[in-house]
Amino acid sequence: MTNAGTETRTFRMHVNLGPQHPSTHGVLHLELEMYGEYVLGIDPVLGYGHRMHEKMAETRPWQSFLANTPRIDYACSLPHSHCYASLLEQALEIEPPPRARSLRIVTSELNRIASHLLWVGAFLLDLGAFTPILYCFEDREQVVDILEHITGNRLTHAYMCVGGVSADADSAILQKTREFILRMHNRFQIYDRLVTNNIIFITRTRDIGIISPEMARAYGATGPVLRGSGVPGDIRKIAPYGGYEELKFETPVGAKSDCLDRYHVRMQEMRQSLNIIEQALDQMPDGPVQAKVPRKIAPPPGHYSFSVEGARGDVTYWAVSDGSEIPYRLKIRSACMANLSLLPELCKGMLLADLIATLGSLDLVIPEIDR
Amino acid sequence: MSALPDALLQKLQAFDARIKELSPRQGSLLHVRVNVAALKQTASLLRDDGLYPVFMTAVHTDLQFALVYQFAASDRPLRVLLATTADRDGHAPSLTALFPGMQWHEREAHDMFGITFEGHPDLRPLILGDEYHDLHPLRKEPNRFKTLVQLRGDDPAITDGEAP
Repeated sequence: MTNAGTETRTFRMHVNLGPQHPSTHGVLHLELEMYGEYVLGIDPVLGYGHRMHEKMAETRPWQSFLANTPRIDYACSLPHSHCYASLLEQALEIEPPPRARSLRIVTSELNRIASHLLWVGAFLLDLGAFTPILYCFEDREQVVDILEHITGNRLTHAYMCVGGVSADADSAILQKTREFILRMHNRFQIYDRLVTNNIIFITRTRDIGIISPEMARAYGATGPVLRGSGVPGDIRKIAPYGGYEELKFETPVGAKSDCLDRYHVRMQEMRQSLNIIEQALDQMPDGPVQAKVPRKIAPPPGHYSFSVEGARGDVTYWAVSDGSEIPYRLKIRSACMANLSLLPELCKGMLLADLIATLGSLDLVIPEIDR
Repeated sequence: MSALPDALLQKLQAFDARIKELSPRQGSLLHVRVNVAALKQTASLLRDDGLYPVFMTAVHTDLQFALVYQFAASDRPLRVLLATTADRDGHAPSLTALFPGMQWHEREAHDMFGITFEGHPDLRPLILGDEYHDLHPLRKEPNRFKTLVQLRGDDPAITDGEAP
């Protein structure tokens, strides 16, 4: 920079993105190596939201850890609880009653819609579009209100419990859910006019951040990131759990593996989730919502694994029991961590603005990575 | 179970593969226990079959670490739990050359347990801060160990428990 006058030159520089930068969605810290506007490499620094959930699991009874599970991924908390509760049910050989299974599906899918709506708004905000998040939050508010009525919480729903769910849903709120489905189908037309067909949005995301199916597989990327790359990988479809095997839905996939495809996949998934909720409501039987569960939960010695499809991909819990009331080891698989781990390879040679778009398209919840 | 009798299973049979069902409807979880020397060879079989890495972690048992890798297929209900034992000093080969996605999982296991992965390009702390590089919080206290036999139940133990 010794050149005087109007002459400029490009040089290498080190840029810190985050941990408090809004486009890193929480507390992710990226150390960027830049050459002008181009990214040469990134080094993600994790751990700002680390709470040591896995150690907490080893210090408290099995059922007490259920209260931790919604706090791992706060944007889509019910699949985490669903996974942990199902793992214990599998270990103890408990079958939740049919009504509880339906309620689990309805609430999980509502949670998925809420999470995707939050993502659409935040993603567009990253790209510089302010208006869509106002629409998204208006719709998300409806979902959160329904979930609050059913589960008692707005964000960290303590709803799933071993052997079923903690509370039944009354017919009024189920009717309200049906009204929401109708409303939401109409709202997609607004999103299409506002976002999907918006030429600025398309230009910012088309052919940006192309993740090949091979790359997604090598890094263990799952969820909409994998499906955006054209691989129809969805645990609800491949290895159904908790009643998903009785429901009809499609697995939307992308064709070009870019940010725009990941947007399309999530928008289509919300429509599929509405279909799932409608079917689950139609088929919902009457009856109890909790199975008989022993007062002391102590799975027999051995190891247990359970996987569900969260809003961000493969959520797997793997537990080792020594036969006591306290887990010996609990491993929580975070989908976001695998999805983010491909970014250092993907970002090389990208423009900084495209990196922000790609980072946004991965739908990261940082506390889920850090656990 | 219908997805099971495939070519991968036959190849794994050479490695003391044991099948444990996840749940009647959620497909199968193959439990494959290998010697640490055969770890890379087995993992490359899984990679060639198109499986993706789900997680990698360790379990601290009496004086040794059971290393557990889970892989899953995205086209059929099949998961593989590949288990081995790190040597007495906590060393194990790294699978990063086969699965670049293993990098962060192995870094996390290095944070939490202090396992050293031979051939890993970058073993800096990932989740914990730099000042906690020798804390290893998921190691068990000396009086809290359980042996592999105490953790096994009706199934085969997580690993064969022979540290090389």
